[in-house]
Amino acid sequence: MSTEEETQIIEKAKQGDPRAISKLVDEYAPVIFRFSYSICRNQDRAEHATQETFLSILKKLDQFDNRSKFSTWLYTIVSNHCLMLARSEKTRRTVSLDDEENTIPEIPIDHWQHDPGAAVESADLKEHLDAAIDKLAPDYKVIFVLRDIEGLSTEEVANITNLSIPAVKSRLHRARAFLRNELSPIFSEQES
Amino acid sequence: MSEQIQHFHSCQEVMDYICAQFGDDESSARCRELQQHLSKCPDCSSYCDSIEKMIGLYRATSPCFTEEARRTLLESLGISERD
Repeated sequence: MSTEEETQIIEKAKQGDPRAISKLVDEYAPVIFRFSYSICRNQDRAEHATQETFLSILKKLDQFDNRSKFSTWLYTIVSNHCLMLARSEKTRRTVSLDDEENTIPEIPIDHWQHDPGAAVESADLKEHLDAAIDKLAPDYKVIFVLRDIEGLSTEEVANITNLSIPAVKSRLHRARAFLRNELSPIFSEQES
Repeated sequence: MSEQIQHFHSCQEVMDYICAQFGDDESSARCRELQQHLSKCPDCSSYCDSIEKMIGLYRATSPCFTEEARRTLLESLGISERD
């Protein structure tokens, strides 16, 4: 979809045109779902988050003024929604990486010879990945997903999360190191 | 204008840079220097490789947005396929 076409569809959607809204769903619901799933790693919850985010988007569509990219605006809404959901789940225990005391221990750099593509077929590995992600604090998860999974620039991530660029870089570094450390023993096991 | 290069002095510096720049423009002079270092340093190379594999695994284990989920979403927005 070109930017011009997108602008026209958004204007029509603001007027409540069902075809325009349907086009926005076709274009962006898979993106919002993928993002939500990357955060919560649960299909039902991700579908629910997608639904809630779209309802919110339609309510706030009048506030979108084309000053930022529409996708950036969407990521801001879905990020806030996912963070709100995660914070409301008080039963979950995540690892805070904010304190210097909680620095990630340096583990020896090992070689990951196992191919993650093939690992997808292993339910066991997926469980380990989900468990590692589940431990990561939501604020860090959002940065990691926006930057590494969705491939946004550091500047875009800073805008979406309302953080400074150095803060985004620092959180990304910690999130990557944490996940890598969590997964390293599993990949080592797979090799042996 | 020529780009001023700050040389890397340790694997840690290389890793810090990778962490900040992973996925960014690879044509910069500093990135080219990084690539040269990676070709000679097995530790940094392994680190980069594992980060890439981790991201690949993360992406590969995400399901698609199903047609059923799309229909449910449209219904929740009060839109029928015939609109």
